[in-house]
Amino acid sequence: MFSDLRYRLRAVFRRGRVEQELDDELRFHLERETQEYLRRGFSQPEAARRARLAFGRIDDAKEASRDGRGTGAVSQVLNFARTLRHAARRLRRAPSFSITAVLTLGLGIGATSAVFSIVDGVLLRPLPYPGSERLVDLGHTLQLTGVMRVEQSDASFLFYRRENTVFAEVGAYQPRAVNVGGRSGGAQDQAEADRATAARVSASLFPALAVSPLRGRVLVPEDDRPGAAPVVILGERLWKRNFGSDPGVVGRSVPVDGVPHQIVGVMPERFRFPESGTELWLPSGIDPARTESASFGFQAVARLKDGATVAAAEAELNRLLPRLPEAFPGRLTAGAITATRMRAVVRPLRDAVVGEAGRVLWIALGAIGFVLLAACGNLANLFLVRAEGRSREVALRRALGAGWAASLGEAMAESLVVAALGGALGVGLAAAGVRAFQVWSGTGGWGELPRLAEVRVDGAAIGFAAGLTVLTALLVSFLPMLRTRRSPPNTLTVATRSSTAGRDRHLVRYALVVSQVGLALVLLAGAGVMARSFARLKSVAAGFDPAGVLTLRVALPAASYPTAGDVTRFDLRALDGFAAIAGVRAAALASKLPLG
Amino acid sequence: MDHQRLDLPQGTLDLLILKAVSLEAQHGWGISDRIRQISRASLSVPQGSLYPALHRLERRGWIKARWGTSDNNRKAKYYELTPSGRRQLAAETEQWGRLAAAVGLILRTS
Repeated sequence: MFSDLRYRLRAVFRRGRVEQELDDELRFHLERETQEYLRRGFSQPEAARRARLAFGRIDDAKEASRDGRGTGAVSQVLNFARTLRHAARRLRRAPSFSITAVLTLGLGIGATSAVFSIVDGVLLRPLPYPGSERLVDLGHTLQLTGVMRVEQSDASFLFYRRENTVFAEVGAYQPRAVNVGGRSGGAQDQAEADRATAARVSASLFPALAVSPLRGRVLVPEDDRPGAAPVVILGERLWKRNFGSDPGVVGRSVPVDGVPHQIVGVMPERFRFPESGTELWLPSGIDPARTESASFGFQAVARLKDGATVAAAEAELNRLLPRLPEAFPGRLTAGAITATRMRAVVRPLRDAVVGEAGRVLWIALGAIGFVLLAACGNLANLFLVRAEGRSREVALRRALGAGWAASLGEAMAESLVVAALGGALGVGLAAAGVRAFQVWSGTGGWGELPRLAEVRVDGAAIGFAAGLTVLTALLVSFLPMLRTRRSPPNTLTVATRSSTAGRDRHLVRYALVVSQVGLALVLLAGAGVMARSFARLKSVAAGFDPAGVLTLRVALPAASYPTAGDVTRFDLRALDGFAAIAGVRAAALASKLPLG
Repeated sequence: MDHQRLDLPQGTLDLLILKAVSLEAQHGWGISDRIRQISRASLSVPQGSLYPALHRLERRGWIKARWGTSDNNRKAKYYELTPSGRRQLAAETEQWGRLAAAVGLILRTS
């Protein structure tokens, strides 16, 4: 075993020396054999000829000896490296072919991977919570003027959480915007305040999502009792931005809307719930003694018990719903539930998060599939033309004794060089494309596409697109080679006559052209339809003219504006102030933006 | 040279090489010449296939090579049997005898 290893290592690292020895050895053999024939009375040239004849092809013996040394793979790699260098040189001499092929490959791989990465990140990959496939979103539908969706009231959340048998845990949340104090941390220091996206959440939300904090703790039920000391949980980004990643931040106090809150924990950056920008979590403030059953300001997420299904959960909630008014009397009466045909709706959390964007993304994925096919067709055509252009050269090489395998290797090497360059370009384009899409979408190009921040360029997608295109190139360079294998001499005559190509080649090319035109047509039509639907979506008549309308949001600190009267006085003063600005025609106030 | 030559059965070349170098170190041409002479030229060893076989045997550690000077005063690569090669030769010889006997038995009884 050891001698085998030593032998092979020598054969690899002292390759030149070993080759020289083989040469010497074989030369010695031939000399001796020649001598033998001379001794029998043959002339010198005849003796040498007979010796060579008896030996057979020297190169074959050498090649077989290399195989015998067990380093065949190494010498093949070295041979292949040389073949690749030749291929690169040939490609440089045909820049129009090379550039077109590389660009086609790059665009095909890049576009496909980018779109697939987005689809995968948004639609296919599980939400970043443990056991996320068992997370469901709880809501209601009711029929007033049409079917509309409402979420949860404090009462319905408390009721479902208490009565259900299908959920391991139910959490409630309510996104809101707050002012959060900065580094100095003084309650009065509003000049340092940041606006931040926050959420009021029930303590049960954290176990429902099965998330744990980076530092400190999550909310516990005691934090969410009426009259409990105000506490807050920070997001990692806010912690870094406003507190310089201070490890001792837990236990410190930070003003939220002017009220000092004690920081009890920091959540890791990957926890972005309910929105990708949420950076603060406050107790829900739900008071079981003072609920408002018809105010659906909360949303609920629940974790199904093992074995419970979405349908079973929905059925159970609908059984429970009619009993809600007895448990939590309020404006949502039994009569109101019947009259509006109110129903509970349970759906996987991912569907709720992704929402309408899902359909558009699937369509985009379908369209990009056609792009990839078109790229393959295009490449096939390029390589076919290239292979035909080369058929003369190949025929000549074959006639001079080049092996079929060597010719094939050369054609493959060209494909590989093109594939490597195109693949690199594709990876770059995919990364740039995803990034550009994230930025564009973030600036409102497509509205907020959910989960977009989670999207990463997907290695499998690049692999798939690259594999498909490269396979196409390889196959296409392979086919003309098969023909030359069948009848090399014929190829030579055909090629040297520089005649037009045979009928069968024309057929292949026609088929390619036809399929490419077909694909392009499908793409064009698809793109047209998509653009139109998109435009129509964007231009839905809102019932008002949105041109020239500016909006702004404001959150008033409860410490400075304790009563509703204070808030109203501020609002009226602000409205007067806005209306007085030159160029402002009218100013108005709303608790919620239309279509917002 | 006129009488018919036998082709080597698969796998017997290694055995013949081991045998040829078992008495004394030999270079490649010497090995092929020895096989030719001992078999009274009835075995045809394709000379081209001798060297791959030598390299294979050397890799397995059954023979080892060293450079020496030949009888005509030229530098030549000599091969000699290693102890493990000697064991291999004994084992293969025994195996070959059993195989030949068994095949002969079958052919005679039919």
